[in-house]
Amino acid sequence: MAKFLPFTGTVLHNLFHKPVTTSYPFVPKEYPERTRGHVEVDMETCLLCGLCSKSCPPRAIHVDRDTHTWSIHRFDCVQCGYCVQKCPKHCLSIVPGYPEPGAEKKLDIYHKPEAIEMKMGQVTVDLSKCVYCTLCAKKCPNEAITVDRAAKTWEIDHHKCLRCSLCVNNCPRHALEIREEEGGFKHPQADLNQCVFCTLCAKKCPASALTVDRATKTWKLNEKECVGCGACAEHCPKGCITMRPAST
Amino acid sequence: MAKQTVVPFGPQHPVLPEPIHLDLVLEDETVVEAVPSIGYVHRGLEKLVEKKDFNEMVYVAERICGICSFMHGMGYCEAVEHIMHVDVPARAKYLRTLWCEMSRLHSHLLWLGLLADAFGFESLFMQSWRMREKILDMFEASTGGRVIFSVNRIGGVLKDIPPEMLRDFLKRFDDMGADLRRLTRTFLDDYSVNERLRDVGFLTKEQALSLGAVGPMLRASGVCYDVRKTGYAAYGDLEVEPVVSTIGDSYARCQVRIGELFQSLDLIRQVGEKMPTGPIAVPVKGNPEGEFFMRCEQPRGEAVYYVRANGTKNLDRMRVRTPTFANIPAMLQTLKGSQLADVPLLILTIDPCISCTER
Amino acid sequence: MNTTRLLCCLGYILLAPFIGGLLDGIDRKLSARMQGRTGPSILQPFYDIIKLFHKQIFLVNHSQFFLVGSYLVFVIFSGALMFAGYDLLMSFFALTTAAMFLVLASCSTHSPFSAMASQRELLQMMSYEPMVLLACVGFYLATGSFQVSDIIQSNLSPIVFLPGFFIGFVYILTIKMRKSPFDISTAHHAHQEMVRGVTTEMVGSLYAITQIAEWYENVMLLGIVALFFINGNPISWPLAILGVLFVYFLETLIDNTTARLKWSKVLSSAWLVTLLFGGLNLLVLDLMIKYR
Repeated sequence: MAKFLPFTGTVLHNLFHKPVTTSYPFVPKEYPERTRGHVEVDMETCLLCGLCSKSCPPRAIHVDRDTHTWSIHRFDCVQCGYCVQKCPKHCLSIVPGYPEPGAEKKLDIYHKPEAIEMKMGQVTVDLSKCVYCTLCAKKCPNEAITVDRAAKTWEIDHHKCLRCSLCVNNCPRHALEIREEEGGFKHPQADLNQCVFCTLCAKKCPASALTVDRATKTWKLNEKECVGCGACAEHCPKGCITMRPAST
Repeated sequence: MAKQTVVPFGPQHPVLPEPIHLDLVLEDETVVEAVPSIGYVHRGLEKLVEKKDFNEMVYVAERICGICSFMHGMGYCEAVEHIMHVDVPARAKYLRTLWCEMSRLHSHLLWLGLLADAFGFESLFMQSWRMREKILDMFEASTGGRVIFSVNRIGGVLKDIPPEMLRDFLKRFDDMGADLRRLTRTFLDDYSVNERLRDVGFLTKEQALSLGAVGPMLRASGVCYDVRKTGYAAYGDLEVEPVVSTIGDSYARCQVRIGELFQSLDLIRQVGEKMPTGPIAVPVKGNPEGEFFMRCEQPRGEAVYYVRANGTKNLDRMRVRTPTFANIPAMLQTLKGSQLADVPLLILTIDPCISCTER
Repeated sequence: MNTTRLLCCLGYILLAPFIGGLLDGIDRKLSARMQGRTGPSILQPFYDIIKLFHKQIFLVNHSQFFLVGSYLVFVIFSGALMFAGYDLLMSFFALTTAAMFLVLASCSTHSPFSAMASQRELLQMMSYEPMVLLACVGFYLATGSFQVSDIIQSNLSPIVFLPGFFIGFVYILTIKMRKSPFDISTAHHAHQEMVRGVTTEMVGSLYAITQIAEWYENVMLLGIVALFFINGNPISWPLAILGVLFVYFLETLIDNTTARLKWSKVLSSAWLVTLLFGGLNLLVLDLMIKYR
């Protein structure tokens, strides 16, 4: 019934054969082609739309449209490949080769080449061409476009718009285009969570377009007076003012 | 009565692959009582449904555990698919079944290795893991990951196995059968192994049922219960007969798991024969609304996924009842009256996965 | 004669740790290859020891240093006695004393793991001591002397008269060397319920000392194995070395092909083997002497 030392055969076989382990990392490992090792980005086609960073489960990817950078925390990335699935321009890929181990977490930053400057314009519609087919709204990765077929309205939320141009490329009537801004007229916008209501911006404003009240904690912009110079943003000690394209 | 001593067992103990703490009340070397405490690796994954949308949650769900990661991902996907009335293509179902059975193979081989390690048989441990390595290689070739596969999505799977790769896999599994038989002979027949496994940690059929044991722990006590019979994924088309033993000791649990290794090989052969062609995924529109209980048979036993959705992209609630959680009361029962030398073995016979338990 | 004794004694004290460490390295390499691994370098045990000496020391109990030191001293003493060719019986009792110091050192820490392991260590001593003493008696009956210097001058190798004793001794050698089926109080890999058994609470250089003492002990035990083969003929010496290496390989092989047993099984099987092989051999030897 019970056998005495039945494993001896296997052990002796192992002893007189080559070991199965290798001297990794001195002998590099060969990975199959499907191995999900690390995420690679093609910055030439990347639009910095930020969909990857929004869908990343561990939030390892950061996209900054102001500095034109796409960055990834290699050690936070779990190599799930969801960003690759989500990328509208297919500029992300997940390839073999694991990130090198390191003593500290660091951010890998990729810059968008200067030559391919981003189009910072707005999506505009030519309503005479539009047939309200809603294809643009369906293609929009960030649900910025709302189209109502019955009421014949086409609306875009410019704050939500990522300027990925997916709608422009997919419009069957070529009714959409991204119009480049001339000089770029921008209004200041303050992040009131950070604002300390120091009134410095109001003092620096050459057009006196800003009214800031410390007592009632209000920050108000007179859009008609604003010349969009950006002096307020430049002088804000908290850096809470950003220049955004005018909403209309 | 002998003097009682309390030995802290874990959370950091060489025998335990994962942190669980047991206070062992000993009389000499006999365990009178074992008091467990868990919560060392709680990560709050269920709470994440509030932050991640239901598609992203697939990746969170499969990271509940590194050993049955595929089944966690699949269980969650099938639950959501059921709410959304998604008809998953047949090929996707078969691919899921194939990966499920591969997971079971590698999990059981891992367990055999750990068991061998628990009774101090280091070379047997290495040999088991060496065989497991072959399955991990196949996983890496087909899914791109060795333990976390990320091939599930709501509506199907992300990667296909081309026919030539499938043929190659089937051949490798055929070769594995002979190696497995040679390996498992030591577990079942070796004198010293028998000495350690037999008549250790009895769990009667009644105890197993009343304590709510699941999986091999339950089947080793003579209860014929296997959720694969409910026919999720492609199991409905395949012949599955639960592996049952009536003895109820550690040897029986080892026997059941070894039986399941060969059963998995058989299922993989069936999948290979019946693999349909066609798409591997269907597009999914809208957000889920409703609730569903999904049950699936993991290597460690029955896992339950409860999903409730409210029509937004974030789910209301996701709850996972993992098999280890269900097996802990049964484990405590077997520990009572056992020898200290058998404690590692008995903890291992439920195949504990603490990450699963605490999520 | 006295200079030879002194040289042998000094040789043991100076060389034994190196031979013991090297044998340990070979054991690890062999085990690794038996498991299909590449395994560490043969010199790995020495690297480990050097590293251990650089670790910070935490003493649970200050008497530990004295007790562990005594363990080392008594092991060296018993080995030196044997290699210098003195009384075998004396040497064995010195070795038992050494083992007692190890148990005391482990007991002094109040850790539940090492406390239980020292109990088990005592049980182990109970299982192997009868055979050790019987082996002594066997050597006396075979050669007519307890003196090692006389034993190695005998006409025939003692193993001719003592095959049963030899089997019994190799059996308990597995316990002494802490090999797989019988490593109940401490194992060479710590995946067991007692963590690291008697050495659980020994840290850094303290642990390094126990390791070195173990090497001394192993060399001495293998010396006794060699004693079974050595006779007055110089050709028996290389034969003895071969025999020792074979026994060592056998121990590694057994370590890799068995599961760890429980203490009750260790005790009963060791006594059974002692009684069966040692006892029968003793009976036969006794009769032979009576009717010679």
